[in-house]
Amino acid sequence: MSETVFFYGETDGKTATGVFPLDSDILYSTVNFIRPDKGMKCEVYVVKVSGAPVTVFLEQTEDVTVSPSPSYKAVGSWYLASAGELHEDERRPIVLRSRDGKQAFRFTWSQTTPDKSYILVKVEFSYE
Amino acid sequence: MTDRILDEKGFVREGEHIIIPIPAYNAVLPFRVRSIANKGTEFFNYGPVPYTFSGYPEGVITARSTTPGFKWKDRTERLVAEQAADMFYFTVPNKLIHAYIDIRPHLFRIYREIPTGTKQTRYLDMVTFTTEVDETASIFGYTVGVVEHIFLPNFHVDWFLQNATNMDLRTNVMIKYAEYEVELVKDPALIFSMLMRQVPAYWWTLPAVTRFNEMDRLLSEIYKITPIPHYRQGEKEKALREIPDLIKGATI
Repeated sequence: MSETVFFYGETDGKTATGVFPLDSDILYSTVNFIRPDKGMKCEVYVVKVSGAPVTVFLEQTEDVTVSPSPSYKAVGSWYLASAGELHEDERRPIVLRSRDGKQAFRFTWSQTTPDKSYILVKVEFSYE
Repeated sequence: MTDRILDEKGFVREGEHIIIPIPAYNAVLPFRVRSIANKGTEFFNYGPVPYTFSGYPEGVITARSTTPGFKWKDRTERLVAEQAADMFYFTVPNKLIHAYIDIRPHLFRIYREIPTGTKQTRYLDMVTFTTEVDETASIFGYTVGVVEHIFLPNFHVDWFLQNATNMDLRTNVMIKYAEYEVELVKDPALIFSMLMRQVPAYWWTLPAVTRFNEMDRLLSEIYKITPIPHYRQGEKEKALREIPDLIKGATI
């Protein structure tokens, strides 16, 4: 049993680094990270990066409940070298699993010059 | 899913049989589907889950939360009395409603109370159902995705959704259902053959491990039968001898 969800995010255009707020048709409010249910597998595809030059990082934490701030590590990155669009090959997902319900992941940006950039991400959630 | 018994939508074909084991009673209910009232028109896009958390639109299941028990309220506003609050509640004896309830997104843990107020989700004798969103307490005994349920007369079922993610999720429910007109199978030899799987029948177990008054009344006052035991192999003679007495007053 699986669910495919598309998430959209954009930079704020003002800061050189930040965390993408993610929105989707099934979300009532945006989220800054995704914490799947325990036991879920998430196949993550960055479908498109567009707008101003940007490096997008997929970051994962082992324990999102750590206070005051959990420790994230990068597990993937995408580089849009110049203004335009970067379309990714959807055949190669990054697979993230929730082992004890505390894992989470998020998308961050890094820009030389702050500007508007956009991401479209596909996540296939499944219990397996 | 298509076979001799089930059609391409997962419903029992007219003329075929259904066996409903009820573990709490160590009993079975054997039915034959005489007709399907809504044949060919089985789809119902129900809309959002009929639950509203304070401050949110209907159908939003907030992050890291479990809904209170809810029933599938009638969206048409044409059903009355108890059916207005629970469209799958009915008392007509010769009906069964076979439903596949698809709650999207498929990101929820789904629990049921059968009937309302009775937690049947257990491992051995331990209740596993909990409304706590806790990674250790509520880790098993739930359903995900599409839930198949055959609604019997005379009792309500409560549904619970647990959203363990950090996302406030909007929901949509697609229901596929068949309204069977059924009769109780009364031929003891046929019943025993079905129990031994010598005659094909569709098996769907009512997930109830503790007895409840509504079922007692369904059996004794609506069906007017004594539960038919889930006979073991080698008990054919016993079954043939006992079954006629158990079902002699059957109303369907």
